[in-house]
Amino acid sequence: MPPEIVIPAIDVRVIAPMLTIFAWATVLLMVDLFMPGKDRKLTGYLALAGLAVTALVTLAVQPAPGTSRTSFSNMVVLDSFGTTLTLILLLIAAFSIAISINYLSYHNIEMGEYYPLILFATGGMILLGQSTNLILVFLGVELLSITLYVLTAFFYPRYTSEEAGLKYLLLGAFAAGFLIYGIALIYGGAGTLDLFEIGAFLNTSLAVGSAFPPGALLVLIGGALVLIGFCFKISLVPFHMWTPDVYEGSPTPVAAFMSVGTKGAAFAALLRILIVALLPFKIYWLPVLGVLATLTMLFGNIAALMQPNMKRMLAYSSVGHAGYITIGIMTAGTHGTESFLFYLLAYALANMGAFAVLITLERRGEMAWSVDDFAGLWKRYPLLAIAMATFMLSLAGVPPTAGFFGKFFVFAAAWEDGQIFLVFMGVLSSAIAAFFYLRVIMRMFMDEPVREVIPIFNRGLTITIGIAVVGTIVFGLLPTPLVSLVQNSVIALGVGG
Amino acid sequence: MLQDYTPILVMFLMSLFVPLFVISLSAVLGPKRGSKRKLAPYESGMEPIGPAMRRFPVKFYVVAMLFILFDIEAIFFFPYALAFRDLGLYGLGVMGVFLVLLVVGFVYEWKKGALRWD
Amino acid sequence: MFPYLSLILWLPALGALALLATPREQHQTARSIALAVSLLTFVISLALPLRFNAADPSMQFVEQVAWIPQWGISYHLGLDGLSLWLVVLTTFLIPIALFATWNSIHAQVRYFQILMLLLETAMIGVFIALDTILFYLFWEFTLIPMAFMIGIWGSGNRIYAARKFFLYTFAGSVLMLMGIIGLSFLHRDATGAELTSFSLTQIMGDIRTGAFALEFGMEQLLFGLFFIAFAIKVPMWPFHTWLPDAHVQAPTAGSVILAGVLLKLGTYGLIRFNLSLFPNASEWAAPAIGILAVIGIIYGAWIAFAQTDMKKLVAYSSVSHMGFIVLGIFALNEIGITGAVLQMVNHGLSTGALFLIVGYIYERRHTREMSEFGGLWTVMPIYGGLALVMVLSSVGLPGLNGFIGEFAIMQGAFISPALGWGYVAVSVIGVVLAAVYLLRMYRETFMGEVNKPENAELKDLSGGEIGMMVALLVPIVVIGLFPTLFFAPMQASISEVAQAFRSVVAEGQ
Repeated sequence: MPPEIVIPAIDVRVIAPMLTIFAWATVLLMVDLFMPGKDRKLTGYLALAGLAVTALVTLAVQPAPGTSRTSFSNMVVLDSFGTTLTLILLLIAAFSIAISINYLSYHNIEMGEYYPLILFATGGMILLGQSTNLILVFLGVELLSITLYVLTAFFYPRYTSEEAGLKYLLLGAFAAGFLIYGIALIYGGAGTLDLFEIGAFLNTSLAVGSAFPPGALLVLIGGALVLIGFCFKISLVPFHMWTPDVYEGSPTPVAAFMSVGTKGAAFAALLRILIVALLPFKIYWLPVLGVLATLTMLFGNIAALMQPNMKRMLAYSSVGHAGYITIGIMTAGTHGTESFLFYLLAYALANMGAFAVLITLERRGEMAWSVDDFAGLWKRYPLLAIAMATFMLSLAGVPPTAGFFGKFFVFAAAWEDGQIFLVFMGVLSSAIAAFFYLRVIMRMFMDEPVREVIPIFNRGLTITIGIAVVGTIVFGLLPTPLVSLVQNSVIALGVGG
Repeated sequence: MLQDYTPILVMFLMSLFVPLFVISLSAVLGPKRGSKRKLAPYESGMEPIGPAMRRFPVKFYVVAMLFILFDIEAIFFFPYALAFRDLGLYGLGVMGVFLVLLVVGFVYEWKKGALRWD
Repeated sequence: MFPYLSLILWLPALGALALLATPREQHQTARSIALAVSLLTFVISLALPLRFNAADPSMQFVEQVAWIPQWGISYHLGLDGLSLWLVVLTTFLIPIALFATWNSIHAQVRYFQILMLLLETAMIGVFIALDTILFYLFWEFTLIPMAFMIGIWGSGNRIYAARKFFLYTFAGSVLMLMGIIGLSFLHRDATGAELTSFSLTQIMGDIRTGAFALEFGMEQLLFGLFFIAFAIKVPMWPFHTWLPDAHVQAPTAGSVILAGVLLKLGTYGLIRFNLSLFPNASEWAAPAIGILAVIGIIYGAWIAFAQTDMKKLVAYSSVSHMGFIVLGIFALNEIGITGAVLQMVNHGLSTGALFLIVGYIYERRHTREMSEFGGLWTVMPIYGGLALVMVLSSVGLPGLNGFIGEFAIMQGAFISPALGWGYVAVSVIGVVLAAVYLLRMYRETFMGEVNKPENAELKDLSGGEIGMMVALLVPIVVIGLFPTLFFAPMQASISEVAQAFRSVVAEGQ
């Protein structure tokens, strides 16, 4: 007599955003296949439409603040934290596609697969943000990574792009090894992969015995390995070595997409793991993350000081920003979660904008991205210079930009949590960071041009830069609506509710 | 709790030991009288042509990947066939989605010319 | 109630927006619009002292609108005796600075005017913001226009100077951000409120009533965080090194605003934040800060004496004069603080005037070396006469404004239990040195024979230039002759600040 097969109840609303984006990506792949001609711009526009539809679906299924829905045996959860994150990720993906549409054809690397790949990666990110089961977390990481391996190497046959793809693949596989081994150990210790159940297991097993129960020890070791796996993905120092090379080699829109999207999603998953499953271990992971965040902020920003190459500078700056975001997720009481979401959006706007400006100045067949190209930009293209200055100031955290409030909320959350030393390291490193952001501004406004660079403008770039500038300044002056949005984005701590 | 894994450890050690033992046994016991012919790489009795480590067309990799793809399809379908009745309509739907995705991939590679040899 | 403060605050910013709409090449239009807007702002700001109730120590003209209610951050403006004259000083100096650039800025004129107006908004905002986050916003925003002004329109090593200016002050102010965050959370925890409050009046009120008492160690930490930010801005010795660079490279108008108003943001912050919020720590730190201030006085004067470049000389004299102001503030008594506030206004007027004087001659000869000049008095008598008055005002001649402020500061420091006569004795050397280096500058450039042929042909001041000097001269003389007019509105607010220390002093006796 074979065992009874029980089919779990399924609530499609929970996975509706993912379902939409994956279905759209699959259909788009087919549409692109049968589309005549060499011009692939239409695929790009259709992908943008797909993101818009997904956003609408997300808004439609959005649960009321404080409530959540789970399905598939509690493997996936739909809470307002997840939907807010999904919306931010969709915005990031939309920016990436908008700045790609003309970039690809200009650099002769236009292939229709690019857009479905971005959609698949975005779907993976959404999955990361919503999964409450370690297997699904792993699935999300892999889905995201595999698409990105292809995307980083998309600048075929440029050697640096292949190098980037290979480096990312090797380190990604390495990180995945840590991740899956950690997950296996956690399963060995707790007997479950469900985040809620792991949390419950730790609570009971730590409460019962005075000695450290062996199961909990396995979970602790496993949790450490999972953390290492994530550290690679979000490039915390000392796991950041790949970042500048990969960003430099990959197509610029992909680098932009990775620098905010991948990070945001991986951070969200890590946040959920730390808060839902490993909260009883806060005494262990808090100091570890504190040290990592400090190292990341200092090293990332100091390394960025030396870079004459803008793309590498932005890569190191993104490493530095990962440190600030880490502070946000470490202190994820309510204010930490909020500050994480706010910071992510502010950082996404500024960083996408900065990469978009970089694209306007990128020459066919060149791999320069020198700060020199920005020299004297102000005299020739004042609006572009002002936009770039806005992004740089926002990344540096100077008011009145959204970046300032991002930093403010992160530091406030850290102080509230009692991490005064981290606040101090944070402000110290942002003073260091001001150095290189300011250098770009100085070159743009106060120097003479080194060589004649004519920027390329097109609709996608202009709109992206425009939205990013307006968003950065508006949220810098009037963050109130955004604050209420992120404040309502509560992370689901239990099943149902 | 950890003791439960002792058999696995034993098996691991055994599997490490046995091949090492056998290999070293042949090295110890076997007579070694090499000649030029004997030391040449074995290639089905033919004269060796060129170095063995050379590049061969990437198409082989594509075919290998296609093989894995359909291999996995088979792996999924066998257990499904066993549980066909129990899963009912739900199972049919899920396998339908799986099949659609597979077909999409197949159509994609077909159109991209991955199946064309020349 | 009519929103005077919002009007004065945003009028320049609106003017800057309007300037964006003007055609790029019409320099004259841009100049006129900017000047008109700033003059209008000045005229409106005159309503503030007229309608100010001198007897009321609390905030006046208050406006409060919720801004980020989730965090207790609001758009909260107000004015008291401390900030009254500083706001008027700002609105007064901006049109003068704009007028001073009329003939000296020729490149990208429109943007210069826009930055100047934005800077005005930011500076006024710092003086009247009563919400710490709003304060921080304006505080940081003063950096951007000023750094651009130095970097784009400056001379020589301008990029280096602009960067140094920005990074020094930015490094200080991020520490202040940490202090602001900490202050509000400690306040929330101490009062048991549900939300944090970033309202300065609320926190200050709770400190004065004792509802919010800080642990001494924490108070020292917060005091330090705020103090470093303000000390860099003032700038106090040893944080002063950005100032000479910034001044020397900045265009004349930039120097006028930098010395006239921007430095005062630091001293204003010291009184508004450090003294009002952390009285115990202020008392604890006063002797040490007094020593730094005295070192600054002597050091600034000494280095100024060694300069051959007139602008550098005036820049270092600022370090010396700002040392006096800090000394007055940390006398921690009414007379000292009153003198310090008055001296802020005085320094703004007379140093601003000195920078203009150096600017005039630089425009004519494109050099500021004292050895290049001599006997200008005979060539340019009006210039020589006006310059003499300004130099004397800066030196502290009785009858002009500088004397009153310096005297009050010395008196305050003398009777202060925190400082005492030793500090006064040393700082008096600074006064003497000030007379020496400023009069030496005057002698070398204006007196004697005309020994360079280039100087013989120099034209005397134009009508506009004389107008600016006279405009500055009026308040200088009025303050010198009728100081009570200016003291009166400050009194109530400053005695409120000094109250915290008086009680401690009384206990000590």
